[in-house]
Amino acid sequence: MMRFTLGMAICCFAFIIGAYLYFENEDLLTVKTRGLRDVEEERDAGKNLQNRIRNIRKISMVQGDDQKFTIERLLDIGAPGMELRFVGQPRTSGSSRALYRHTFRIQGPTTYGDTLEVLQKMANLPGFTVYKYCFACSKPPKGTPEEYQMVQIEGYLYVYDPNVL
Amino acid sequence: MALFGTKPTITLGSKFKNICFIGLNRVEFMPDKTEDAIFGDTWQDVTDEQTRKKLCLAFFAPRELDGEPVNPFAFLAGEEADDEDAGAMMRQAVEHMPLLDLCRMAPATVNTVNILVVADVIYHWDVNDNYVQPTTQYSWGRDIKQILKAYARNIDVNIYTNWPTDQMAEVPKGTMHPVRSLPLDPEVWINMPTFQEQWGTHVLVASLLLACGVYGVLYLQQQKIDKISEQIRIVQQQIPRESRFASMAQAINEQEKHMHPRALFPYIVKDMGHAIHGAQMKIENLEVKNPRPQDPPENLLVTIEAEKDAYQGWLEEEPVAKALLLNSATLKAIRKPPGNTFKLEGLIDLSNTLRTFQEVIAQQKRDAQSDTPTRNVLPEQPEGDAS
Repeated sequence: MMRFTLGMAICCFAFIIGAYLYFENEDLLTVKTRGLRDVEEERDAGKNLQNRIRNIRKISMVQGDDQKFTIERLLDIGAPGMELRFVGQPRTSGSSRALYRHTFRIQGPTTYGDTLEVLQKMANLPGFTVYKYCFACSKPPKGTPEEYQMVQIEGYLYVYDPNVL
Repeated sequence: MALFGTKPTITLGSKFKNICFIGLNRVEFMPDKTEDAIFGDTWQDVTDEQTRKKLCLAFFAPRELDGEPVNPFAFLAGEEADDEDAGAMMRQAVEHMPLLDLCRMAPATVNTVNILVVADVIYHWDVNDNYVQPTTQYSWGRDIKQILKAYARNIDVNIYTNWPTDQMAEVPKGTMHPVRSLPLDPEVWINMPTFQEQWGTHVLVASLLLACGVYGVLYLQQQKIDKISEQIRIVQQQIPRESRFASMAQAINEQEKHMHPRALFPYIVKDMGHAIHGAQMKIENLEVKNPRPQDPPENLLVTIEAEKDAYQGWLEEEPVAKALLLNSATLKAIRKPPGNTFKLEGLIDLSNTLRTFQEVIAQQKRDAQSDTPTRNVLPEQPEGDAS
């Protein structure tokens, strides 16, 4: 009788506690599995950052090339036509100067066709992105040929330091 | 053959190993796996501690005057039957043994008489009742013959005994059976274990096995959880945690978003030129800009201002505006803001336009990659050209 009672008690105890712990562990297992997936995604994102850095080097200008005359030569512009100026100081992210951006402004008298060529070159050259284009927004200087209009192009130039990035 | 109206599957021999029949003045002990029986005065004399572990005591307890069976423990105590302590001590000694009071046997079926010959007793029972008579190994044949005289000639007789019949002058009439084949009537077993007592050990063992199984399953689960936790810890160590990684990721993310539609800009400006030309619009100036230059561009705003006094009133301005919209491949919507001058504002959805021009841009990228170096883009400067 005692054995039967003890057996039934153990059976009930094992079943109830076992079922409770089993489902609790199942929930914990689900949470842990999701946690593992999240940290793996985070790790993959970290690895992906390396790929993105490689990619960003391809589409950014190398530090040292971000000089006024260098860029003007690349874009085939310069006085007395359109001239490039950097506006303000370069903007960096955090304390590292591995990646930073200039705000530039190209301004001067030119034709519509020439501006298209300049825009196309910017689209092909690394680092340039334009956010503003204005054709004939201001009066050209006196003595400018009639077909020339004042053009203003503003945008960002992204530069990376090859020694850091 | 169902002798007592009960299931005939359980017999004395199938249920018990060592059986000791307690007669009137003698006992007969039938050890397991042995043909020969042992006779003695008391059951304690013929058994030892080992055999008592699996011993079944069968006895023929008399009835009280009211017909009820006497206390079996008091009966087994024998001469000290009146002594309560003796009865209690006997109970303590035999309560773990199966006790069979054969006098509680259920009546036999009609036209049948069953006879059990053991120890010094002839016990027989018929459809009416059961009876105990003394006998000896020399006289039991005659005694049975005397008993059967009280019954009809054609009655079925079953004799259960292990006593030899080869030296008997006249073998009694009836079917001879070994004692171990005697069907076990549940009524006879006075201390038959209850369901709980019978299956208690099984239930306990099964429960322990179940508990072990549950523990095993939980242990495996815990192992699995620990393994995943360990994996999480290892993977977490592989994640770059430095702050510069976060700022770098942010900077890269921002740059990627800003530069994503950059190849589209020349096409949009060119498209505006085509649209203005197609609409024959006389313009004062043209502006294409991201309205929020600090954020990655999603839309571009195009502002076209017409020459002063080139158009007079809505009738002239409206067709120009419609023609401008029709001739543009990139303008999503156009509107005329309030003011004295004729100015049009157009909206360009960059994501849609990017999808439209995707193939063109891809081709342009391929061409650009083949033409333009990505590092040290400055071509070699000829000497003397620095000025």
